[in-house]
Amino acid sequence: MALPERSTHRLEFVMGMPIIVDICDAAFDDSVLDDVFEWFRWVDSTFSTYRSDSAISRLNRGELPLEAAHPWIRRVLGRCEELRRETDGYFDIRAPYATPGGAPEAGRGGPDSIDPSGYVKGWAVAEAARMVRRAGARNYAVNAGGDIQLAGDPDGSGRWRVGIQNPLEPDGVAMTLALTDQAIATSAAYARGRHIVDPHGARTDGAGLLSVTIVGPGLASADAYATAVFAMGAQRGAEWCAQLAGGYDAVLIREDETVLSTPGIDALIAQPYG
Amino acid sequence: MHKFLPTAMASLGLAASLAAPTDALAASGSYTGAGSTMKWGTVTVTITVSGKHITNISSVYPAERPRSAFINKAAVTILRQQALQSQSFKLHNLSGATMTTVAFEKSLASAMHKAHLA
Repeated sequence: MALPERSTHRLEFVMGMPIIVDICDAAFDDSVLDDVFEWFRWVDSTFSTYRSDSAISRLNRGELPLEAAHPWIRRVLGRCEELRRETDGYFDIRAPYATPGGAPEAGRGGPDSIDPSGYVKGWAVAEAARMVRRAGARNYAVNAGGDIQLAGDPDGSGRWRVGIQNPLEPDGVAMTLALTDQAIATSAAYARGRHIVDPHGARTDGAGLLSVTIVGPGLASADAYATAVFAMGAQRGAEWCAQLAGGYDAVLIREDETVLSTPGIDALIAQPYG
Repeated sequence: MHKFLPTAMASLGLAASLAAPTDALAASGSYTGAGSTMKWGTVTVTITVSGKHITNISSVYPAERPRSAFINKAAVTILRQQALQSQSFKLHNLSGATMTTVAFEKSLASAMHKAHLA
């Protein structure tokens, strides 16, 4: 397998996580990467609940009326409401978030305050991937803290090889999938403290689950589904995943170290490098 | 349902990229990158350079428990093979967390800078 004549790779820390853009197209003008990281910084400054001057923080304090907010903020919040209904209420931007150490975030106030970051991250990555495609790239991966939107392949093999983190071992891989023109998102308790909350029972983790991975066409939905299924826990999460449609599939790693996956996953499992 | 075997990990999806050509000739020898700290400890990468090529990569990884030590060794072997194949510190794509890859990459980048390879 020949490597591409040229590939571009940039890593920056934005939104509190490493964001990596890989483009594997020959003769590609990589100036779009400046725009991509400018986009991520705009998203962070607009949607971060950790920044007291963000639009979301101002919305939460009542200083910014929703009608006056940027149209993209209204669109994001509208989609979050659709996702709440799709997930039986388990994806909920009004759910109380447990922060590591218990300190309230700057932008989180009363019971009506919202935190759409569980959707915004995947959405921002999917939009960044569209920017890269509009610039002419056909083989690329945009990876924000392990949630990835990818297209084409890096090496002519037709697929990207993506490992699912072993939730019990920081350096272990539980499963490797071969993906193209797809997104993959994983929710687990290990990455940033136990920050996913069951909005119905105020649990601070997914009962019986170590991690949930969702594969599908778009990262915005995949990320939100993974968050919701983790909050559902092993039993309800598995039942909900069984009715996934639209090209979305799931891998649930349970506390007893068994793995449940939807039927579509079988065709995506990669063979190890020989 | 299939049994989840942590020890069955055999591959890590990492996209290899070619390192940018450089005119600065690296002196042959060993270069140790700055330690890169992640949640579970510090990763320190050492490269051995001959001419302009990396001929060996070794790394020191956290190993808190016996099982961790085994898994870490396997994961590092894969990262190491990727870097040797691509002569690059450009690694990619683990869903769930990029911490290990990023820590390895940062320390490797540091070592390559010291060796004037990047």
